[in-house]
Amino acid sequence: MLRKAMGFMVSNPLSGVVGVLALIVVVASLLSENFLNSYNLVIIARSLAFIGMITIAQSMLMILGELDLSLGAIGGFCGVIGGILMVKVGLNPWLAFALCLAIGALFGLLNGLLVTLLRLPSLVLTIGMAGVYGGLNLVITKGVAITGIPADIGFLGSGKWAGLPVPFWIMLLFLVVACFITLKTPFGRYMYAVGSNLSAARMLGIRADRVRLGVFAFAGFLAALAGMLMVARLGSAQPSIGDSWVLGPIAASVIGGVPTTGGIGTPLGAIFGAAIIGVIENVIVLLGISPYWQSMVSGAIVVIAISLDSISRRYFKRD
Amino acid sequence: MKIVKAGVVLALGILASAGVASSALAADGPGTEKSESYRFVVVPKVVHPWFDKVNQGAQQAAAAIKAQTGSDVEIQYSAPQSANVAQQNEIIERAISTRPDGIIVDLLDPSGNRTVLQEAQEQGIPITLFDSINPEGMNLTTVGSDFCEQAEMAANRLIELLDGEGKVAIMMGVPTAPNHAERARCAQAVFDAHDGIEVVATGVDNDDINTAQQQASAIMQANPDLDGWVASDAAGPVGIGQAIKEADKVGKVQLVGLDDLSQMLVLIKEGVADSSSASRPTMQGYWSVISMWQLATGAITPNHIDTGNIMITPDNVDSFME
Amino acid sequence: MAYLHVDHVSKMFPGVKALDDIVLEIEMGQVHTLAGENGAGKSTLVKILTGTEKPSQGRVMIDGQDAASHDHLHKTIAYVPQEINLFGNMTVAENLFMPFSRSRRGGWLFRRRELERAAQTWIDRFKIAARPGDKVRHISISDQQLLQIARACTNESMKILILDEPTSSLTETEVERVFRVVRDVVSSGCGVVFISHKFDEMFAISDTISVLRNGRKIETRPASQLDDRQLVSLMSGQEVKTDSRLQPEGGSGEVMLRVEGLCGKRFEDVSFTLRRGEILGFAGLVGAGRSEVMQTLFGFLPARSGNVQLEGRAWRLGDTHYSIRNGLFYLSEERKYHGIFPGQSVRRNIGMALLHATARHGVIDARRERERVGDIVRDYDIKTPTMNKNIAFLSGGNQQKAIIGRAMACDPRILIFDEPTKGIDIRTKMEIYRLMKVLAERGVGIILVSSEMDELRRCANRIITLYEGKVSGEFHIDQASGDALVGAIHGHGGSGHAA
Repeated sequence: MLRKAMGFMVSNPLSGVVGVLALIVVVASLLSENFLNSYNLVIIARSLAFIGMITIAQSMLMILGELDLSLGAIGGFCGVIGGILMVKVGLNPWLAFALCLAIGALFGLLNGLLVTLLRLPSLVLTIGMAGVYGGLNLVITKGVAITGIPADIGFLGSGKWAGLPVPFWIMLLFLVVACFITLKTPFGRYMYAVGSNLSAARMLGIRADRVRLGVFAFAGFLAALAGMLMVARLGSAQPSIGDSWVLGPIAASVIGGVPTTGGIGTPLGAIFGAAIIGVIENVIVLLGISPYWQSMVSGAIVVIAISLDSISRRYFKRD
Repeated sequence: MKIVKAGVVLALGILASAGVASSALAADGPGTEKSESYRFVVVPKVVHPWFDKVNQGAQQAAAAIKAQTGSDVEIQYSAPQSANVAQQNEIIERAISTRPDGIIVDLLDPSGNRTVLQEAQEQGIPITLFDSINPEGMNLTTVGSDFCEQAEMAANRLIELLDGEGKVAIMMGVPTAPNHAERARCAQAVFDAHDGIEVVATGVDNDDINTAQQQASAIMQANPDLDGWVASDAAGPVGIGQAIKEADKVGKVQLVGLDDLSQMLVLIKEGVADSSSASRPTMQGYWSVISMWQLATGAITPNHIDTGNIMITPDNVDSFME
Repeated sequence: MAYLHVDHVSKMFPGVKALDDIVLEIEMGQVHTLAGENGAGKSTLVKILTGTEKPSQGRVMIDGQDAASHDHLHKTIAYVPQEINLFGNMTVAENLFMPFSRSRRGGWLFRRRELERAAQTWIDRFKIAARPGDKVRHISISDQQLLQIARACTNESMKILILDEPTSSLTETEVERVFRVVRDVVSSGCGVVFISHKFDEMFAISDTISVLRNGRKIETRPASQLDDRQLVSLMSGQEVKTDSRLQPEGGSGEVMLRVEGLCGKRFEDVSFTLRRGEILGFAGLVGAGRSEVMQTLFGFLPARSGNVQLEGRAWRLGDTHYSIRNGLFYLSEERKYHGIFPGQSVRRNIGMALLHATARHGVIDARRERERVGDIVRDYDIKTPTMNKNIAFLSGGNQQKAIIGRAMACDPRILIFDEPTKGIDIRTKMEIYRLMKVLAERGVGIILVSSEMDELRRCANRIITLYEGKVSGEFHIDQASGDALVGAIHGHGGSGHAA
């Protein structure tokens, strides 16, 4: 029985990252008595909700061997568009919400089209597109937040259901959707094929470009969703939404077993990676570590987490 | 020259009289609760030297309270890594979950921070704001100075230096930062009111010294006949000063700076900048803690404590250097 | 005692005994060939000789000392892998002496002049057709292969040179260049361990041949005391029918595929027809454009012009998805780059082509996938512990079988095999030949691109030769003399002489 459990743990690629997460949670709860209180757990769940949606999107792109560094900018821009539609145009908030998700998917699709048609490396292209979306955002808002978002959609951002924040449940829902797509559908198989060997995928007649476009669009959709939920949460459309959604999700995906080279890993693993980063950032503030040290400490812990995972993998493979 | 605004004197007066009143009158009136120790969390907008000075002032106030009353005051300084409302909200949320005796915040955006502040109030944690205005429908004590006045002081000083005639440029800070935007607007308004003054260029430095330097260099290249500069954030004038030095235009292009970063003070000493219109971060930190402590003792605190602005000139610059 | 003595070595991997009590002696000044089917244990043995794997039991004695306690002894054994393993964007000289510390050309400064002068002596000795300053990706495959050997030989302490299938991507004349180098190395007093699947090469170069099968050493004999037949039965442990003729029977039917004036990258104006029931062979030197023609036909590479018809209907070029949907499959010689999805399981690799059958309403039915993949693994005799194993860990032959099995599951109308037996043992080879024959007889159009004359003569009904991107000849198998074929390959029309 124990042997079987051990075997499962060793063979399951997620066991490393889950183990590291468990370790960090235990250490955190020993270091700070506030860590496990229900309010703090709600906070962690909520911040994981937003960064998690971007992480799901980014990890799916990374499985393809692509990156989209403009997801944060798309989220912020869609949030602002949503704010304008709701406040300035006076559109029904639900309609505006849905419209913004569609616009986000279009932005993602545009990134994908540029990557596939121009045969550009997505890293460089999306750095540029982040500037375009972020710049348009500033042009439209002049940097001023749009206030007066209708309270109707407020519960999407700040409401709770069964003790946990609504955005967290929405993130979980899309995590299930993303895992279903990647693991259970032919489309998901094609994603892994394209990410693991593009020429072999083309040799099999897989339309790599269509797969790419699909994932880019889905990623844009998720970014817009995160942005709109943040607007609902803040009650205002802040131009700065999404600024901090760029590097964290990439690190989270790598920690969770999706390398930047693509072809392996799952969105589920990436979410565990995001949880590791989220818990570390939470605890660092709880412990009152000087803000000048925070980046360094959280960076170092992330490096240690990745190393632990990779060392454990190598160690178990040996035997 | 008027150094300290009357408002500060007034606030001091109120505080002093409150202290006298409580000792002389009712033993269980407002401000009579005493605790052995207090823990206040200070949440600035971002990691930035200006906020270090706020923190310094806060620590000074903590020491003062300890010396006067014997109560321990712990100041926990918790800064977002980037100036981003969502991130600041998370910092505030995490502060709430450590259940401090009070949270002192510089709001990045009143509307965006509103929900979290309400959450803190629901959890029974008092809040004092500094360097920012109340979110709609909230009535928290604010500590700070008038941004518009600060920018107007700088603009007027520059007009004076140019004898009311010349071409000037404004360096915007972070376009999304309301206080930067307000300063730029107020400076622009002052210039517009003077017929002899023409605003020929506006730069954006994103509160970054390097960017400010690049922008200033480019603008001076494009406008060789530029006569003077004002800025809207603390990093801006430092970058502009460096650009002026590089372009060998010291004395030909006037600079009236903003705030009191140490590089700014050096520029004034070197004569690159004429002067700087400074808010007083140390005082903001000091009075935020005093006000927070008063709130914790059960006292009622004023709506606003004005810490004022001050013109730093070569005459008084030494008193700002450490 | 021999310089290298393998003393009762066994190697265990989880669940597998890769080597079982191997005893072997490698003498200096000789070519010792290791023969065996895929998975016989050759690679593991090589890894133990070079010190990358440690024996589970037994010892490797080098120069009379136990190599396990004298690690530096492994450095006297140089290894040249099967695949080209060079830095394409660096020069010939740089590749030769990399890493510079090992070749004692290190120091603080990189002295280009001196390095290139030193490289020239190696280039001369190995007769590599390149200058020291040429970028490696600009020189031919056979020169790259020679450069790899030369690089191994720059190791001054080298006593034994191991060559793992050095000729698998070379044509016959190019093979001779490699052999010249091998003889040169042997005459300088070193020993050579040679691994190959090609019998004619083994007999041409070897002094001694050792046969491995299922991790055991079956036999060691002087090459002169062995022949093809004996070797095959030693390797496979049974009589393998090496039919000399495996052409499909029943004669050629109507034209299936008509290609007219196809132009693309590295080839011009290629026209040919493929008839139902025949195997059409394509011969040519490496770089003659054979793979390019096929990949363009398949839609993987863009076509500049040309007209293609499949069963009378116009064919769309430049879209692999269209090709697959319409039953045209291309099985690449570059399994690693074009065939497998490394990091993915065997099940996923094969399942990738079965999704039309295993997915219902857009959801993959895991049970059906397991069943279907299981059938293919069984039918094509793919040797893997479980279908969840990472395909990158399978031997080349088993990867090839997986790829063929995958294509078969899609009911192809035309199959293009590009070097299907490269690096594959004789028994699997024969299986693939028979499979092609059966398919052709069932009405599938087969195109076979090969560098092995023997393979083409054995399987193809007709052979088209390409030379420098143009069709240089067409031969019916009964009329194709060896000389005429070789001449056409080297661009001497149908009449030339062997080069």
